[in-house]
Amino acid sequence: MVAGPAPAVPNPHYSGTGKPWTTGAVPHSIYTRLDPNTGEAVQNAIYDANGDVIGHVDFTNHGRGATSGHGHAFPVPGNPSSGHGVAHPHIPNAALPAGWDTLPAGVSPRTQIGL
Amino acid sequence: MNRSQVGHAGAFLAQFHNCYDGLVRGVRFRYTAAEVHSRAVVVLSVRQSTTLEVNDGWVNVRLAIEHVEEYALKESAKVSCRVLSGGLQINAFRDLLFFDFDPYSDEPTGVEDFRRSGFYIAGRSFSWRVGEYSEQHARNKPA
Repeated sequence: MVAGPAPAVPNPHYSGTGKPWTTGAVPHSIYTRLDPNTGEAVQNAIYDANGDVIGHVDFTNHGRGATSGHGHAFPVPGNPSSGHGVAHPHIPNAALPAGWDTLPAGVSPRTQIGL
Repeated sequence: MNRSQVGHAGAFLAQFHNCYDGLVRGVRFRYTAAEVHSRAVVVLSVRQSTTLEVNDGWVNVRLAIEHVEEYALKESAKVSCRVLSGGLQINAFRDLLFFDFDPYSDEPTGVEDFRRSGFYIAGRSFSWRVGEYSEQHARNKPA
């Protein structure tokens, strides 16, 4: 797929219960993973112009200040491992790029943002 | 299931913040002619609650699961289980401890939800050893 100009916020927005792809997604899109048992959002995956994942937002509290709504940016597109570990602290919700924590209409985060 | 193993699992999860945002560094299964069941060793990078002053708490953990009776590990060009975004879930069903490194649900309803995971190992007992943080592969043994 040929990517057009980057939108101001990730678009289009998809959702489902499957794990987010690391590569091969629709360029500039965002995907919300829903918990299959609760229907709540557990994670957003954000994609670049090539359809490679460049970030995640997690909607549960991961401890150590990583409250629900925190994010991770991936220096190597398509490789979530590149944005985790000692050199890659999480991104507080307030500092996320625009639109990264957007959820589909009617979908609640697994844990309230900030908790 | 030995009650001490279940308590052991709770202590492990508490020590490492449920392994949220951890990384899988290596997975190894050992099969020997003398044993019916295999042994699994998973090396993880996780944050430890008791060592915050060093590497912001990041350590490597060598998790050894004994008497493995079932497991699954699915990886593809588009789906990876190397980041523990959903943390690690451990639950006992009958005589087996299920370790789920890629939880199907944050609220699993039973053993079948563990079997829907992209990466789980079920065994009868386990132990762990903490070592220095490293981004190298599993052969870089923790102390």
